[in-house]
Amino acid sequence: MLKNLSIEWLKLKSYRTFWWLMGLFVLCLVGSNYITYQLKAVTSAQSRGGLDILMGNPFGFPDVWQSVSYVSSFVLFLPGFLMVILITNEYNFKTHRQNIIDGMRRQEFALTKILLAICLSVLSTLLVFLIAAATGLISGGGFSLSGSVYIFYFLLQALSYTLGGLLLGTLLKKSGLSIAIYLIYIAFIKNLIALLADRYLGGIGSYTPIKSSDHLIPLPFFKQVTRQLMTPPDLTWLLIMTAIYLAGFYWLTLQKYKTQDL
Amino acid sequence: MPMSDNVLSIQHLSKSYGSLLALAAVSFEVPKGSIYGILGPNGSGKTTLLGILTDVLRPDSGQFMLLDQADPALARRKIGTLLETPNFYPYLSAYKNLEISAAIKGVSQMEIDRVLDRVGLLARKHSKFSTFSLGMKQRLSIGAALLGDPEMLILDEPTNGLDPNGIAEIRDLIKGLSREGRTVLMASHLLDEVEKVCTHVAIIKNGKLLASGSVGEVLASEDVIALRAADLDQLAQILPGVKGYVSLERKDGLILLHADLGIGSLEDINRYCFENGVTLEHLTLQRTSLEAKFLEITH
Repeated sequence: MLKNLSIEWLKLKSYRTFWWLMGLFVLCLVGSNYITYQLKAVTSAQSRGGLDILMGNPFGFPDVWQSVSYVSSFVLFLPGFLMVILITNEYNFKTHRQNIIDGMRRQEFALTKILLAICLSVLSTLLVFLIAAATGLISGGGFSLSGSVYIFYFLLQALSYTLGGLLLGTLLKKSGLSIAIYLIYIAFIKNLIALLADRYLGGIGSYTPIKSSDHLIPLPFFKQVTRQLMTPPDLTWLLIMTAIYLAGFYWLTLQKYKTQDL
Repeated sequence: MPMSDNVLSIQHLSKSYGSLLALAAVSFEVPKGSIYGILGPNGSGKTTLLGILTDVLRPDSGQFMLLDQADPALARRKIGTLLETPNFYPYLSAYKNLEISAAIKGVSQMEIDRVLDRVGLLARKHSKFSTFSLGMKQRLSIGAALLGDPEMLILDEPTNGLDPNGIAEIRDLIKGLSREGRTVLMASHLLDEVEKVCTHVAIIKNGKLLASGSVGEVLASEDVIALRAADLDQLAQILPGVKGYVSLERKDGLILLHADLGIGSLEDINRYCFENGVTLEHLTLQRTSLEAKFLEITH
């Protein structure tokens, strides 16, 4: 598989769009956290301590892990977007056929793309870890890993976005359509389904695809308030559903490549 | 005698697209070193067959064995393939595209310059594929197919869309490869091409295999010669003794002799008849039946 990953790298390293999207992603990761941090700092200063009682210290340890993960998750559509582009490109150029003709096994082709999604997710998680650690240290206070489970949840979320994008591109094959549906799902349909499931299927909206991993990292701000107003979804079930969806994305992607005519 | 003289053996391959039967239990063997043509009209299933062999398409049933390899992917790495349009990454250069093909095949990077030179693209090796003309794209495809000195080549209508120069080049390439002991499997709808280049042929129509074997066997020319003599009965009696005799029929006061003129010539027939006491009044070659045979087989 290492050989296949190096082949994948040959495809990526000279692809300008890849570098642009990665650059944009890092920029947005740092930027979104920076802006949120500054916003909080400014409003805190203005409220002269009043806000702090309500809000706590979201950018200091241990809450910084959750805060940064939460804010960063809004940028996860970018690596997912990248996965959609990369797979639909192969269909577009018909190089998915050429790779197989040259002697790659179908399973290897699918697994390599899955591995790429995993690498992107791990990389994203590493970046978030670094940003969170740095932010926590800047906020003052001693470094603490307590509460860092949210970094793991971020990894699960990143996997959902990237593997979800990969599956969508695999099924739809057309780049324009796949990108449109992916973005619309993330921005709108995901929440619609959750709303409908809540209303008509007895409150299981939190456990729908992508939403289940989103809910692993709840809103970190105004915890005092939110805790009293809303009952959080069951963590165990969120994890189970997320695992099921991830396994489903993995298996479906592989199956599609094993059986379809290219 | 080695265990398998065949680089490819196909058993009962079938494939349907919905209700359309593209291939119906096709079986044949391709001997090592042959130039094997798959001949048939457009839509006969040739491309489907090649698609299955290269794992682009999934068969409904049947199996095949390439290069005596249990793992078809490993076999494909030793095979150069040219199917339809060239498929490369438009944003990568010729060199970088071949880098990927070479990596998949497990072929050394040193090969890349060598094949680029062979197809005349060395000067453009760093140009993006998207900037290539159609002819250059095709040449890059050929280069990719030649990476790693493959034991076998699979070509789908290789002269399609080429000008006469290109066609001649491809034919020379194929013959040269065969001389080097490599096997070539090529699909074509052109009888002329198969006859000129191939050593073996399988004829496919509507997904069914109609005939397979050496070109000599399958496309044996059976010419039709018209003869007349004073005594047609006597003529009919002696004609079966003619060299290359296949059959005869009587028609319109003539005898139409079906014979293989590769074996016996018109002159031989004339002499034979004379020696057997029949003087011919009329002797003409009505038609060479290569095309007739092909039409007959595919009728």
